[in-house]
Amino acid sequence: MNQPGNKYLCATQRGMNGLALLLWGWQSGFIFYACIMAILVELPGFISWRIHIRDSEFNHISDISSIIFFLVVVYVFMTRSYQGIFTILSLLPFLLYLIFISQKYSTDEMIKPSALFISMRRLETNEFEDINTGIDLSYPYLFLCIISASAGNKQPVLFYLFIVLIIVWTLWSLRPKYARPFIWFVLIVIAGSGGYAGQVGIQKLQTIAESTFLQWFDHFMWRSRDPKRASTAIGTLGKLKLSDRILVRINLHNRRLTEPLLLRESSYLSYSYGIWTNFQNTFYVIDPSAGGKQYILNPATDNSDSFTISFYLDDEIAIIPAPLGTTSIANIKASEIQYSPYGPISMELNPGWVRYDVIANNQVINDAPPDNDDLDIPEIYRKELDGLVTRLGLHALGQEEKIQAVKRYFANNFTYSLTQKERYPRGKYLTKFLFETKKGHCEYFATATTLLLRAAGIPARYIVGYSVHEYSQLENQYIARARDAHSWVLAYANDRWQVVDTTPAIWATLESEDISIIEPLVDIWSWIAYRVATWDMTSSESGKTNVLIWLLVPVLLLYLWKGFIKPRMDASGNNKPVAGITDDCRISHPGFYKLMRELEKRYGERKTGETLMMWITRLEKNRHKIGINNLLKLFYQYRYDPEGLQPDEESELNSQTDSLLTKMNT
Amino acid sequence: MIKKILFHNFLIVYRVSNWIRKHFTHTGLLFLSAAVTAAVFGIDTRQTLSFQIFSLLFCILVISFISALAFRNKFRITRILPAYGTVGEKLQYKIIVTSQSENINEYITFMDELVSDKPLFEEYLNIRDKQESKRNIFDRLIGYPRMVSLIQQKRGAFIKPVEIEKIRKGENVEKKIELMPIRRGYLRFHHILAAKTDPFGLFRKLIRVNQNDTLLILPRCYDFPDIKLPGKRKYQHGGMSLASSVGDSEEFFSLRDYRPGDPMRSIHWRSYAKKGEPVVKEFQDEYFTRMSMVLDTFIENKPAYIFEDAVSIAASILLGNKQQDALLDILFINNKSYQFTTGRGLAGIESAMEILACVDTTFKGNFNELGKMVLNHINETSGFIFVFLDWDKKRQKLIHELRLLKMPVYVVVVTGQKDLPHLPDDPMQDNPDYFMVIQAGEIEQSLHRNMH
Repeated sequence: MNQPGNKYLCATQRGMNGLALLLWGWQSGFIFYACIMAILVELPGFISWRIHIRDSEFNHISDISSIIFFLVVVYVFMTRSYQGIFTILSLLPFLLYLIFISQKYSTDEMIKPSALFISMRRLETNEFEDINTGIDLSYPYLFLCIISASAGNKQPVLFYLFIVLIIVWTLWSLRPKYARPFIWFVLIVIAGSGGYAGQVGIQKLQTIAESTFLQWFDHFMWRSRDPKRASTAIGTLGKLKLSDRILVRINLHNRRLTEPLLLRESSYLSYSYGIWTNFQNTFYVIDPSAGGKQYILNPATDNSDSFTISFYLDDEIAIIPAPLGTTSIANIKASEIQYSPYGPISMELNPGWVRYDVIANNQVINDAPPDNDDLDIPEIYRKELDGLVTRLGLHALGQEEKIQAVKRYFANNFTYSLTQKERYPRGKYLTKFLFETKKGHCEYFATATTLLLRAAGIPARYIVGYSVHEYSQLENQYIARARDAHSWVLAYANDRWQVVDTTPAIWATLESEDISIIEPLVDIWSWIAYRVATWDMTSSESGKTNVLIWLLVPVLLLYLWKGFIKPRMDASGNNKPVAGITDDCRISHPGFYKLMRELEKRYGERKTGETLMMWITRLEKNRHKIGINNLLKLFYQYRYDPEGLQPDEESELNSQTDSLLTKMNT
Repeated sequence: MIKKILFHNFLIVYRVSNWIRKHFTHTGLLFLSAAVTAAVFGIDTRQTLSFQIFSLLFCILVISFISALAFRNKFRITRILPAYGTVGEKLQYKIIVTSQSENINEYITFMDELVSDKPLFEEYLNIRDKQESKRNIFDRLIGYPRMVSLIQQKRGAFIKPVEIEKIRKGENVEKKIELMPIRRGYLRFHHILAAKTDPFGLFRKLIRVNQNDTLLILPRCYDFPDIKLPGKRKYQHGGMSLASSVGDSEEFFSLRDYRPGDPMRSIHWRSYAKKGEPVVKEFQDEYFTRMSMVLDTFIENKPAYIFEDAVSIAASILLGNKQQDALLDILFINNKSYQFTTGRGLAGIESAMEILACVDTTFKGNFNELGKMVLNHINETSGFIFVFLDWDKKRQKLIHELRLLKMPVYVVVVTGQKDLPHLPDDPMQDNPDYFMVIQAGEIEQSLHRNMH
């Protein structure tokens, strides 16, 4: 039992670490290893035999563990990108087992933190600073095991029960001496129930947050296709939701589509745990021809169609969508266009909307010929896929027949679904799709078809891009939204590549079921923004520059006004907004106006809205002897009295004004 | 600029981590860390079930926090502190806890708290503790451990918490607390925290009991050999009294008959009344040995522990001074010049130690000021003992000048370097018996080497 205020955690009770290891083994699929590890961890509780391990030896063991950990992290991240973090999480009990088991069998049964942190090894310590006092790793390792087990991601209710069991056991063994069992039990029931309700709430919160924020953040989250790696949503739980944002516009020059037009972005060869990769995608720069406006990718063929595609480039270098069998790209002022034999076309240009003309014939796909990678199947699926090929009798069929048989198999047995509810161990989602649930979205269909065709001996590639089928009456052209992103298969049969799309045709309808009620408004706004950005786009230059030029017009006008026109107007004295009555007196009595200007020069300008009388009174209060009260009265009478001044009064006004002006000038 | 941002961020980080360490038990820290880790991995509920662990741990921590609030008792606490402590030497003091609440309190932990002034940016930039060279490059560059070290130095000591198993209302319970001083000067006690955990033993509710006290921590002393300088006794104008104060008093010698011209204040009135003729007091000029110990406070970017060792050396010299009939002045500069005189009934050794306990380094100042102070003192003193932080040109120049004036000097250099640089015209080259080098951090070994 832990004492309140005690400095260190004690060792776990017998069986706790073993149970945590078994939980991890069950969840992560390492149950065999977990059993052995659990036995080894629990054995010291039954035997008295121990080894004396010195601090320096603990340091070496820790260093070896760190090196192994580092190598595994590097390897996993290189092969699985950021998704690998979950693989590393599930491997943690392996990676840190050496140091933990060393501690369990050591005579000290604890380890100094300096063994774990190299930086602490040289530091001096005293008994008052608890920075390098021995610690027991039993409890930290126990928590490591249960967090690591969570990466297994299966049977959530049972998993929750297990973690409640382990954590309650932990709390019981560490409870303070004065804790009354009844109160303790009541509190633990509340915590357990609250925890369960909380985890349900967290799941719902994520669903709500995703659907709410997807539209908002879509613009910022959208990234160009990576030709080397494509993460799929295979294994993602809940309903798959993509935004309605228009990303591609296709002008077919008055032709209409009879079937969806597939625009390819990239092709992939290898599949592993929900990620397709193609590290052979090597790009070659294409030199422009025909006055620098046309880029020839493949030799021209007969029966080619022309397309004008507008695409939103989010980066300076991005993969652009293009129809299968593209032979040339024209009318674009790209800095550089690169082409991979596997299909993707990369373009270097200013980010924003780009427009380009494409000539393509999707009957002649000149992709790189197939090799062994196009027949590669991950080991975990091989056995099951071979069994399926045998069951479908594909071995006995010809190449074209095999493709047709696979298409039929998917069409007759599978349904389209955007929702995945059940949790399975990692890597099992595809197997469940093929043999149990038989429903999923296009990535399931395309992945399963690629692997099944390969198992049947047909080289196949996984393709991602857009399926264009929506015609916009507003824009008078075809459009593809983010939700129209699609994946399909290229199969090599009878010495040519051909499209195999096994996703049920209903997918587009289902994907558009959840359209927002404001979608028409958003589309109009999108169209306006597109038009503004491309209004004078005679080439593929981004429209941003032009918009900026137009934005500069008012700035230039303002600059002209402030810099040239206004100062000249002021200088000519035609438009100086000094004060209303001064202007009046300028018009009515030039002499008096001159006098006022002289006074202003000498005593400072009048305030806005200040009458002449108020101004003179203020100046007199400030001890300036002006002495023009009589003159002011005469001027007021001259200016505002409908009857005006008598001739003698007028001559007095003139003479007084002149004498004051003369006096002030001298 | 970046360092300033880092400095302010480190202060926040330290405060947060300090709050966490005070409020969470070790079990609580384990649960908190596990909850944070589970939250990180459980951020996407579709990828892992880690969010379940987070949810459960979070609920446990919340319940733990709420149930800990039930601890609402009142205490009265008195500290009984010793007169002094010494740097690096563990000491014990007592607290007497009286419960003022009705219910019986069980397993209450008491944590005594020292006041720590907010560290200044300049201090953060200049602090170099003994551990600095042993830290890794990242820690040295970023400097968070340095900030922790600075705050600990400012606080001054580590104090172990104590636990009282049971205390009833009105009952006085006495507990011994262990304290390890890590710097000299005054430790300022401000309050004591009474802590009790929740039924899960994860979170502590803290009750603050204010109680101000101070404790003087003296510098660490070593067995320093007695220094015998060849200096002669010197006339002390004004005698013993003026040796440390200003005024016109002189040493009384005898009585004699009045002679015309003697001042009225010299008349011994009692003898005049007895004898019927004026008798005057006769005074004698005093000659005695008066040594001066000069402590160099000009740290000049050197690690602070070098100065600490220099102060320890100065304190050791002071304690090792066997010439009880001689005066010993302590001279140093701390923003301005200071001079304290000890010995022969003047300020006691305790006062001198207190002064040395509180002396601080000088960052902004010119070493020449110390030189001027020494030269002004030359007529009163029989010899100088210098405790230097370096043996560079300007220090050597000062010694050279003093030796030209035939002034006996003893030089102790406390240095962090393994070997002192050999400069030409070393003024102590011909006088190695009066020159000692002390390796900072290895005082005992250095003294041992020098004595043999």
